Amino acid sequence: MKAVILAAGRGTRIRPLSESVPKPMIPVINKPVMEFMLDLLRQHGFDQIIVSTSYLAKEIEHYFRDGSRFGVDIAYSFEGYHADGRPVPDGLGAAGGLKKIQDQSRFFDDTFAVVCGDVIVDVDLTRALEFHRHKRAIATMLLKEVPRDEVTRYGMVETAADDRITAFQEKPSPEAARSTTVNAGIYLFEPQALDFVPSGQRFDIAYEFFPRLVEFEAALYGLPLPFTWIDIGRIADYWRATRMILNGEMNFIRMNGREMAPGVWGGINLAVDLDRVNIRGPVSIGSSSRIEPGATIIGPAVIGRNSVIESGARVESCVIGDYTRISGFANLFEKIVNGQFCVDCGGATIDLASAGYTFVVDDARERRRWTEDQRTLIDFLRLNAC
Amino acid sequence: MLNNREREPVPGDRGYEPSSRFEVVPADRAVVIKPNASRVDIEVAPQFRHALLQLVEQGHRSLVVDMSEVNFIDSSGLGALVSALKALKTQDRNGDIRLANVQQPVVALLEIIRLQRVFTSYASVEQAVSSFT
Repeated sequence: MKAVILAAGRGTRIRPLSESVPKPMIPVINKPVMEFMLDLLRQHGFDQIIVSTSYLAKEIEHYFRDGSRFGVDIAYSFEGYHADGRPVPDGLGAAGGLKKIQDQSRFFDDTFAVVCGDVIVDVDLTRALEFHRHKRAIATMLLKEVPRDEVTRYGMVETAADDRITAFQEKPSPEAARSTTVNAGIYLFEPQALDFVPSGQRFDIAYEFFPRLVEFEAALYGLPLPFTWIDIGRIADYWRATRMILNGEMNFIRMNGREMAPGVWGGINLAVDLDRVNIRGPVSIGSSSRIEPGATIIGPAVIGRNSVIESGARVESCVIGDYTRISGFANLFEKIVNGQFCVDCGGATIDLASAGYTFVVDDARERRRWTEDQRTLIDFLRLNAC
Repeated sequence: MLNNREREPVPGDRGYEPSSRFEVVPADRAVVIKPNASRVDIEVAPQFRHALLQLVEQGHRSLVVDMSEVNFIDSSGLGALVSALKALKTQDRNGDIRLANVQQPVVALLEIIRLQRVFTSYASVEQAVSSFT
């Protein structure tokens, strides 16, 4: 079966994590978030997948390639153009992007799925397909129930008794909300649904395509299913997803690597002596990282690949990115360290490089050189603060 | 700001006028210095260090830094604080520098390198001054 992963978004709400990688490539437990969706599609028999890309498209293509490593065929649909030898993102909107694919090759010749590349879900797509076919729908939207006090964040979906979608309500107040089911960003379509999408122009899926289907009384259905659904939209969501996976609350996700000690998973080529570090799970350590004796890591925590946690460092409830050195002076609590940025779990960002904190957190490959002030601080911290 | 004069007046000099960058106010148990800058970085830190060291040289042993205007301090600003503390402790082991009105972004930076254990913080200048007995 065929599917499309929507991966063209810019991810502005999750900066700085999306500064150097597109949102679908943001790692959750050392794995790009889009890979979770790819796993789900494969498990339910979707094996021909087009990934619609735009912003930092090459990052996605270079990781997923032709899909053979993941047991599927992957092709890409770039939304944008080239100028001065460089790709310029120019997204078409999700529906406009689908129409572009169809206009080019008539790729969609049977029921197909469309999913977002930046959510982690454990939805039963096979059951959704049965519903879609039983209803003879041309489009089915998976719905997720949310608490009433959270409706202000979402587009709400109203359905009739026969599950037909009748109206949408964008980010209403809790009092004004006419439903508490939201669009989960997972859809099934028949190819003829794309007849409602104009060719060659930007066309949004949520704000234009679905309202048009409702307007023309097309067979658009909503299927409320109980499932775990985490949108990696904001830093707080990212942190919640990471914590839930580490704590085993999303048991459909297997941890990468080997369980070296209860609750401590590690990749290959690790330098860590578990008898000489203070480590308390759940912790995931990426391949080729070094944890020095005397370091402390308190879970839930993720240490990226090729990173170094020096002796004396304390890392508690943190996500440390790849190629990151955490010096022995560091005391990190509820932080996401990504390149030169340190973000607390509420989203406040510290630019560590601008603060001259490279003696605390740095790229693990960087040659170390201190300014006089940094040297003063290092000498003082060795004697007084560690 | 440094200008063409031979040297910038510092606290204690005749004719010293609190510059736009620092205010120095003697209190009963301590002297209070307040950076009037939102960023204590490489631009401000040399004068900050100089001002703090001058207070130490003048014999002040209880210093309060009012951080109410500061929402960013880099390693050079922290280096200035640490240099002054070291100079102070050399003169008098019981001398100390304490902080008041520390803003959350600065608290975060201090905590990352455990400096909050070294520089005790108080919610107000009055509380910081009173802490010196």
